[in-house]
Amino acid sequence: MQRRLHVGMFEREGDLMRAARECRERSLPIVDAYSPYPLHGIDPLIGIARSRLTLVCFLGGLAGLTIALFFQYWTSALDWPTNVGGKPYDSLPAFLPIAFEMTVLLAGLATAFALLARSRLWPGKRAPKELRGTTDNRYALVVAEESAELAPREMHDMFTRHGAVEAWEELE
Amino acid sequence: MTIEAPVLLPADEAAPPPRPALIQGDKSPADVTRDICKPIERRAGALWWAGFLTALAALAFGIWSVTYQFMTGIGTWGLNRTVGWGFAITNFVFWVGIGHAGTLISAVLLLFRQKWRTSINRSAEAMTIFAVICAGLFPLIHMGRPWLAYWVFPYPNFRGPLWVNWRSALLWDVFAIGTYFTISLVFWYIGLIPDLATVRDRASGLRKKIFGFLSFGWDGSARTWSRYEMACMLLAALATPLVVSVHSVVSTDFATSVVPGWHTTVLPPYFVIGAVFSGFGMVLTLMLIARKVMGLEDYITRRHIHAMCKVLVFTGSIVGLAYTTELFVAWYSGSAYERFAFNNRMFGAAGWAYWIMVACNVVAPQLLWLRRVRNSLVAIFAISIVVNIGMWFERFVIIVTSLQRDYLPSTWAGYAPSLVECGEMVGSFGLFFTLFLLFCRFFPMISMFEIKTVLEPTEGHGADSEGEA
Amino acid sequence: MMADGTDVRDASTALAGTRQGLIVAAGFGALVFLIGLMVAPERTWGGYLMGFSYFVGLALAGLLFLAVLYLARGEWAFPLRRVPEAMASTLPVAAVLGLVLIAGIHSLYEWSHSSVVESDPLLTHKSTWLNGFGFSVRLVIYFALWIWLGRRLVRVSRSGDRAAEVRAASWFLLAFALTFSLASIDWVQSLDPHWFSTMFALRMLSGIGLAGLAVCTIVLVTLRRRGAMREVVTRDILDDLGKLLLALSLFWAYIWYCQYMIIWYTDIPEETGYYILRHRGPWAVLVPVNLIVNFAVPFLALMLSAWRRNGVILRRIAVWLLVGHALDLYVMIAPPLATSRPVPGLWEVGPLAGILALFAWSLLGGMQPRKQAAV
Repeated sequence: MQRRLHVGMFEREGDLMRAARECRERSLPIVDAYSPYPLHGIDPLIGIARSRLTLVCFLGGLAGLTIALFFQYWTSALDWPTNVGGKPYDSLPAFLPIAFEMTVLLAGLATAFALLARSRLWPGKRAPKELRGTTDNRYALVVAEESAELAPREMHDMFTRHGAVEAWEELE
Repeated sequence: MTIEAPVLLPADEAAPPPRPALIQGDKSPADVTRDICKPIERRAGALWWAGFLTALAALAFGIWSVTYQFMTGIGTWGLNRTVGWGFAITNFVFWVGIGHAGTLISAVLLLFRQKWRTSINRSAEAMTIFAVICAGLFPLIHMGRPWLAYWVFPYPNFRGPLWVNWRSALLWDVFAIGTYFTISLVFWYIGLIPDLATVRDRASGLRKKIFGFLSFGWDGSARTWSRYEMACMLLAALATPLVVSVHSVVSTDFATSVVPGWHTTVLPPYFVIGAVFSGFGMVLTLMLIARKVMGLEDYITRRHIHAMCKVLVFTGSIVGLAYTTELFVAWYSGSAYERFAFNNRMFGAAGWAYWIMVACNVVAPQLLWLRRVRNSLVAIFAISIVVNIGMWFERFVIIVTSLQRDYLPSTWAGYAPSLVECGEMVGSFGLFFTLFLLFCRFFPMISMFEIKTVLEPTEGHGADSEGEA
Repeated sequence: MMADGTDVRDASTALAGTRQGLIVAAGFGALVFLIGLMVAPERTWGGYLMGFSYFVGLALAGLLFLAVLYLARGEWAFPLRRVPEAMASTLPVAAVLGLVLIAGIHSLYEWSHSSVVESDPLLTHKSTWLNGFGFSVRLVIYFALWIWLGRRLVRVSRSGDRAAEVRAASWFLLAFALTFSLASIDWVQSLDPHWFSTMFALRMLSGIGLAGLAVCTIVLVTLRRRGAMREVVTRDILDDLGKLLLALSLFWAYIWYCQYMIIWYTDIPEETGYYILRHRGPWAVLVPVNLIVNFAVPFLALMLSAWRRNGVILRRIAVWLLVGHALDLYVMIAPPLATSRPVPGLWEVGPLAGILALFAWSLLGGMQPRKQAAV
């Protein structure tokens, strides 16, 4: 299904936020906002849910801890027990440093990969051309038009009223 | 029942007075992009080339030394049967320590919302990565046969399989340094992606292609930013205990032994705080150079430098406390070996090194209490270098003086580095500065997107009052 | 807030009532303590030392938080600083308890018996430091320094002079670092006079940091729930307190592990006695209990942001940590003293509880406006 998207390009953070708030009040679905830095307070306006990366991070860490503890125990006490300096085969206090490092390693990698995968970022991916200024000093608001009740003209006016420097529409 | 009224603060007392702006010169986001991209978009200046060629020459000396050592053997070093660890391990510990300030600035200060970090975190993180590379090289070349380095990993083999010894602090190092390098790299690169996209959008031709590839198709979407900030907080929360663990693990190379002067329970936190101290010394050195060479005085302001000086005085004092504690407990323990070790450290054959260490680490930073010293960038620069020297000597003192005089007087020996060892040390500095200068040349060395969030909102840009209400 | 006069009067009456209850509890503690001195002096003094260490630790933690706040300019915590100030205001009471402790030297410390010292070369060597006179003089010096520099620290906070704040904080921290290291050797480490550990001061510090922050949390959550300071103690602040508790719990575990692991690994006779007493035999059960109470449970509980942001749950965790701190002190102090079993009885609990009631009494006193003005 094709959707019509309205894009407003702003030069001030405050302008975009005001436009976004008006969209919210009028229940216009905001698809996304693009900005050179994270905008605080925009998440509820767009309806972005709290990220579940924390869970991914925790599970990654848990996996690292379990694997490291089990593997050290298995190699030192089961597979080939060796007496090193009179230490017990199961030298838990001496296994903890590596267990900790592996916890952090897997938790960190899991978080990083989950971020990239979930946000669909990968090496060599092309960025949308028309939003170029948003990595420098511009702020873009994208609103979807799901019913015909809103005239494109009205949308354009709303953006300019809030100080948009450009406004256009495109088909998705 | 209510008991709250008494502790309430009057409104005017609750909020601290405003402080000077972090970024000077009333910048807009567009100015930030332009200023920070400028150094990497124009040709390199003479100053950069001078630094780069010097670093490259030092690196070449190092490469020669390492090659000669690999062809001939570890006998090219000044080590002997008593002093089995010398320059190489000193350098290893020194470089790992340098890295710590980078993680501290990027992770701990992020968690504590210290906004002054935004100007220096990127380059401090880069410094961490390069320092860890330098550090990792030393155990590798110390192996003598680095082509067998993969033996340190627990892989299935046909010798039983005979596994690595998990109880060895040296193996802990492998995992600690490996994890530290990986996580620092990931943290640094993720922090770099939005800025790489900024550079991409300003560039053309091959440059655009390269930065387009590196920036992962970043578009600054609010959905991505939301996850991105969460990921950065999580990585910071992981990096903080990690950085503590890394130097603690390095300290166990010494602390788990029975060598007096090495075996002491306080060693892990003592190494960590020393690492932070030396790392901030190095950050200060680099930042003072970078702001001059790259013309970033508006971004790395005196306020940043003062904050770093404060950390330097604070950590330097704790290092002094650790030295004192060691001495007191060596006496208090009543152990003849402990007392001998510290007597020897202070007044023995290498006693001069101990006093250099005390002068550089404990006394020198205290000069920053004086307003005149604090206001002179030259003096701060000198102190930062002195701190680096002092912390290098700290590791040298711990390693060499403790080994020189062990339990068996008939094996007592001296230690002097050979030319090859010196060459490798010079080479590691060469490698570090080569990498750092290349980084300054090709990557935005200040985090643009984070700077844009700490700009003072003025009429022309940023959030206006109505928008934020 | 408290606009009309009746509320204020109610508040101070209620506060006075609570304080009355606390002072009665402290009186009971004192009674148990006095009886205990006749019946089981070593155990009673052990309980007293636990209470004393607990009390001093909390008072010092208050000053420590203030000093760190001024140095790090932690702006988010600025409006909360009256709570650590109130904790610090209890220090003179702790000093009085310290003077009483001098009377217990003979029951507590092996090094105070000249017959033992004479037959033990190691203790003879240490007697330069570990002797009754030195112990008492040092105790007075520690408290004099802490009270003097601590008062300066609180006083400058009213003046609003930034430079003076930094100066006062620096002087306090410098004096604190040295005196606290020595005091922890004097008061607790020398219970095992043959043993030594350079980590010991940090071991004590990690405990008081955690317990001190737990007290702050309890006070702030209570105030918040009673309706005051709502604008200041927001959910974000609760979240921050929770994160800090998490970090300090992790720090406590780190210090615990480092000291233990290094001694376990090296396994030399000078050092292992301390852990043989505590990790073998009847006391061994407390090792995992201590780790679970002070680390595993708070660590896992505080990982959930929903729990950190919930005042009631956060306060419960803080109370749990205060119990944990008592346990931690028990493991450090009780084993070398009379009991052979890890079962605390009336003689340990009585003095400890009494002193904690006294702390709460002084803390509430420190929160009253009149007292504040007098500091």
